Amino acid sequence: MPGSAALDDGSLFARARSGDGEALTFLVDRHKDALVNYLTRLSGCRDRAEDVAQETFVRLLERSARYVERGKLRPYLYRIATNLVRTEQRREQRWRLLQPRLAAGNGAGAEPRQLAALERRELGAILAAGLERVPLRYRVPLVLRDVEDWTYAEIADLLGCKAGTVKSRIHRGRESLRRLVAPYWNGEPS
Amino acid sequence: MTEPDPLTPSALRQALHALPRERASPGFTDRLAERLRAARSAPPRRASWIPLAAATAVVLAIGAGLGIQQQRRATRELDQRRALALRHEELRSELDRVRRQVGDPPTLYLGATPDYDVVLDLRPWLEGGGARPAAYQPPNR
Repeated sequence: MPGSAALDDGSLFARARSGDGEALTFLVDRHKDALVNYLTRLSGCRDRAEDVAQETFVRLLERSARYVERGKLRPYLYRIATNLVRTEQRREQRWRLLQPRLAAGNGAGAEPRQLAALERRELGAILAAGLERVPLRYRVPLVLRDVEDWTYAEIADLLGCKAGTVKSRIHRGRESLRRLVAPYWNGEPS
Repeated sequence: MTEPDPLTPSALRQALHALPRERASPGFTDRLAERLRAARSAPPRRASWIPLAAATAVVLAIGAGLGIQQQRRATRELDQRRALALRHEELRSELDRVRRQVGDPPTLYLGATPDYDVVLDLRPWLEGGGARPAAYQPPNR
């Protein structure tokens, strides 16, 4: 479709929901990498991130009637993705309550000492693992800001709160992450 | 990634930003398109609340049915108890009347002095012999 690449998200989505497969392809290709990266940092698992990203696009199309074009498709898309991660996390937490032994073997519940033993020299991996342990309400804005380079206003749009709240949550997220990774960052013995 | 020192917010942000970027797998868009095609060709899914609502309606209907049945049974039993109590009362009254007829002497109370009650015994009269007076002494004599 000539010129599709130049179309904004809203126009592409309008075409996609009326059955234009090519417009959908452009739209997906435009956002899939950033979305998978965001979801990987959020969930700590690349494969799961890809599955959630797929589900996100499916939901976007299924609920297309609910979307009102105001030039904010990206926050809408990421809100769907974030809600899917939240739902998954709640399901996991319930499962952990029922299966504490299984949870003990889950990488997401690993102790910093274990992480240090596994990834002592890999600061990037430690950072990613530490990120997984930051509460989701702080992790979402932190990843969007520090990994995906979103503006405070965009994040506020996605989360449905004020920019001041976003800044506060990002600050808390950074503090939480700093506490988690500081021992390995500074080379302290575990 | 070089090891920054110390761990300032700025350093942390740089480190986060330097994390390797994950990309969607090469077949991502095709898989998604295939999934969407399959979803479109599949029969429309019923809304997830419909089975739940149907199950709830069935449970409520069964519950209401049982409740009504129990209520009817209780009402019927109460009616039966009331009818039995009424019949019991009638029979007792009838029994008392018969007992009085059989046990009480047919007498006619005429009057009394401080020492005597004056009573007319009607039994001989009923038997054809004529009435005769009968005297009853006070119980403490």
